[in-house]
Parts: sequence; C-alpha cells; structure tokens
Amino acid sequence: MNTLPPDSSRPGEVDDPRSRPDFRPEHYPLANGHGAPPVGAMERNDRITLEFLAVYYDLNCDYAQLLEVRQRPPSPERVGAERTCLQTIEKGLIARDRLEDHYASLGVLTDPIAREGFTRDLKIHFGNVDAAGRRRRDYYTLTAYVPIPLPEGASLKHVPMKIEGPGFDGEY
Amino acid sequence: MGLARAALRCVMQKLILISHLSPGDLVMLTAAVRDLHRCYPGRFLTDVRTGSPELWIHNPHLVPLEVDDPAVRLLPCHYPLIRLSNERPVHFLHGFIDYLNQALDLRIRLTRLAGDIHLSEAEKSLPSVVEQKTGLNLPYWIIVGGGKLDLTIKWWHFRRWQAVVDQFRGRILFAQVGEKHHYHPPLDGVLDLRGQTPMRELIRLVYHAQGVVCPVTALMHLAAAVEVPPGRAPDRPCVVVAGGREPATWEAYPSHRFLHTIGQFPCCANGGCWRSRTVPLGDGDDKDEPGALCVDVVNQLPRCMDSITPGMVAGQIEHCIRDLGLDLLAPDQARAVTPWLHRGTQAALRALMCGYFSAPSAGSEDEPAGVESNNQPQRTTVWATMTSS
Repeated sequence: MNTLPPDSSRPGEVDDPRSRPDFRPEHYPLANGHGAPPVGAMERNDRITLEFLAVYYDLNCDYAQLLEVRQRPPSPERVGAERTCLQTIEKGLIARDRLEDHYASLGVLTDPIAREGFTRDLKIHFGNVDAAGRRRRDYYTLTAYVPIPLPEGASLKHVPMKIEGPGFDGEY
Repeated sequence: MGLARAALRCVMQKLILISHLSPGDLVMLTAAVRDLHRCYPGRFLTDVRTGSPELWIHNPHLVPLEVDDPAVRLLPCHYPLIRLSNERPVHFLHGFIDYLNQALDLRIRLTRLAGDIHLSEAEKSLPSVVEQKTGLNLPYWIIVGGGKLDLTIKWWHFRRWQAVVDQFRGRILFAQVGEKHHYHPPLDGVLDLRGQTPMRELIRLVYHAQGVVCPVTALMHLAAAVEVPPGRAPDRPCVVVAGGREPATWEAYPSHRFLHTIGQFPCCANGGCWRSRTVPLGDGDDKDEPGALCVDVVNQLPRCMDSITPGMVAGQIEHCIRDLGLDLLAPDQARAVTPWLHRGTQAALRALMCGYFSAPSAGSEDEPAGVESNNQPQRTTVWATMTSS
C-alpha cells in the first residue's frame, strides 16, 4: 500500500537544536545561503530542511568535540576518547544518510558546503519546487517588455499591424 | 529532369509532423518518419516541429516546409496505441506508426526495431565528450542515476546506482548524465556530466559509449537508435532497470538487458501498471492523485524497483562485458582518470571528519587510513538496512 513518508509536519516532530539550552549557534548551518526556517515551521519543505539542519548541527558539534580531544596530550585515554568521538560522528553520518534515503522519493537533494570539516551551509533542493521556490506545476504570470523601434518619422498608426491582447483597448 | 522533379514534388503530399513530447518519445517518431518513407518512397515530403530539434539534425527524410504553406498538412502526432500495450505485443516504436496509418490511411510497417538518429561523418570523427573533457581516450559506459520529476515511480534508489558504480571501480568508467532541472543525485567515482550534455553532445556521447545503464528513459532509446562505431558489435549494450511500470513488450529492445518484474507482483500481474509516482510530490501535478500513485511502496521505492538489486544490474553488465568482449579500463587508464572523477561532498565530508573514505574496495587507494574503529563502509551498513525487510 502506498504510504507517504512519516509526516514531519506535525508540531514537535523535529528536534530543533535551537530549542536546546546548550545550543551553539556557530555550529548551526545556513540553508541555501540564508537563515533556517523558524522553529516549529509547518510547511513540509521547511520541516525537511530543519531535520537536515539538525543532523548537520549535531555533526558539527561532534566534530568540534573530536578536535578538542585531539588537542589533548597523547595518552591511552585520548585514544579512547578519540575512538568514541569517531563512533559518534559515524552514527551522525548514518543518521544523515538515513534522512537522505527517507526523502529520496520526494526528490530531495542535499549538498553540504563545508569549511575545515564544519558544514556551514546546506544546499537543499526539493522535487516539488523550482529553484525560485515556486511549485513546479503552479501557473504564474510572466510579463515581458519588448521594445520595437519604429523607423524614423513613423508612428504606430502608420504601421500596418493589428495589436491585440488583454489590457489593450485598440487605442494607441 | 528538373521540371519533372518539380512536378513530382507538386504531387507529393507535404506533411509537418508536430509533437512536443519528451525526447524519448521523439526518438520513436524518428522511426515513424523513416518507415513512412521506406514504405511509401516518393509519396511524401516531411518536416517536423518538435521539442529537442537536435534529434533531427542530419536526418535525410526531412525537407524544409513552411507552416503557412496552404499545401502543407499540419499533423499533431500521438500514440494512442499505448492504451493497448498490456493487451497486444506491440512496441513503443509502433505507436506513432499506428497513428500515421490511421491519420493518413496508410499501411506503414516498422522496418527496424530502433529509432532513426543520424550523425555526420564530421561528428563521428570528433573525440568523444569524455576525451574532450579529460584529454584521455577511454572506454566508458553512460549511467543515469535519476530521472524526471513527473514520473518518480521510475526512479531507482541512488545508493543502488552507487553500488553498481562501486562494483566496477577501476574497471569501468561511468559517465553520469542527466538534465540539470531533473532529479539526478551525484554519484561518487564517476565522470560527472550532469547538465553538461546538450542533446547533440549526448548523442555523440552515446555513439562512443561501450554501453548504457539506466532506468526507462530516453537514454535507452538512444542506445538503440544511435549507430555503433565500426568494429564493434552491431547492437550497443544497455541494461535497463525497469520494474513493473511498462510492459516489457512495449519498451524493451531485443539486445537490451531489460530488468522487469511484469507478472511477479499483483500490481503488475497482467502488464505494466503505468502509475506515475511513488509518493505524492506536492507540486500541484495531477500525478499526485491516488490513481497515479504506486500501490506497493517498500523502502521508499515501488516494490518492483526494490526487488531489483545492484547485484542483478552489475551481473548483467558483467554478462555484456564477457559476451561481447567489451573494453575495460587498463590499470594505467584507471589511475589517469581518477583526478577527473566526481567525489561527492558527502564523501568528502566523511573523509574530512573521520579521516577515511566510505565504500573502500580491495586494493583501492582509498583504503581507510589511521582509523581502527568502525571500519564498516557506511553505505554497506545502510544498504543492509534497506534490504532487511
């Protein structure tokens, strides 16, 4: 039986790190170069974006922890701590991959823009909207201004053509 | 003689065939135009007005005709025969032929089970798009790892395409193609040509390709329609991940490895299901209506597509290589092309954070380095999850 992906538009479904008391804004990525949708956003694509941003935020925090561990003097304890950090990161990457798998059927494509191991921006594309965020099948109006220069000395009433169209009353 | 020819042209019926369907459909129309002239030589002058006009370049059956010539008949073309595709053993190539027979009261017969795409000698003598990009003359396969947004039910999961690529790492160079505004997730370890092949370059890319692996899409029709370079087997290998949407008799070419599931599941027990989407996309298209949705979704895929494993696809590619003696990459070629291969940002991020790559293959330079814990390749872990149900 056909089923939709679990509905992430239910309030409270997304564990938004921005609601956590220990939130570190420097590790929260941008979304398509802009700020993330607001906490509790209801629109489906916004909630999918928040899910991915939460995963990448956790990865950034885990990576920061790994870097901090690697600053410590060499010791068996450091090796153990580094191993734990790497396992945590691996789990985060698995969670990220699972999210990609989950939304693949919706045409969701993500491309993390990373600097020095931290995801700073997440390019995310959806199958139901174009690059401008418009639904692909919605109708919209296009307006174009096309100047057609007349020969010098000529006016429109001398041009042997008929002009038709909405908004034009035959007078020019 | 000139007067006689001019007189003959006056009595030849002038047709402009019109269609703005997708490129794959238009490849079928090329067959109809070819066979119209083969079956009725000298009876017609034909021109077309279609999307993807590059498909018709160098076509010997077209002459320039004007739309406002009162002697020209404008004929919008369709293929209503598709409604009988689950009942009769007819191929897609018969679609426009059947329509022309009805519209023009003719008896055109299909003379070759393929479309009719032509390249000039100058085009054929050009280096392949792969060679133009890399400077290396290498054998390659074309891979399509996604599809159009209107028919998402045709999509196979991108990790499965990736698994196929990984299976042949160092042996086959895959060139990934796909239109920029469609859904084509980037694959690791391929030559990324997504959004870089206008139709004419795509045709040339197909011409030089050792083979094609794709879902049901224009590439499979081009694989059959574009001629093969001299010295190769007459039919270009193509492995198609088809599932149960289209009847095999309608879609498959005899020389292709067409992986279908017709008859295996209740929803395609009696033929193709012809559904459009796996889940609603939410784009306002009526293909989100319940009647157009897959009725049996597993692991975010139609069950028919879920039942097709990377091993099956890779196995068919291996058969093509063995049976046809296809060229593979030599070790030095594999090394030379490595800098050109796409390394996705996901894999790069994993490498940067963890210091190793995922999905390492034996003997690969990408073996994990310096990390002793959790060496299980990430994608293998996820793949095991996907196939556990």
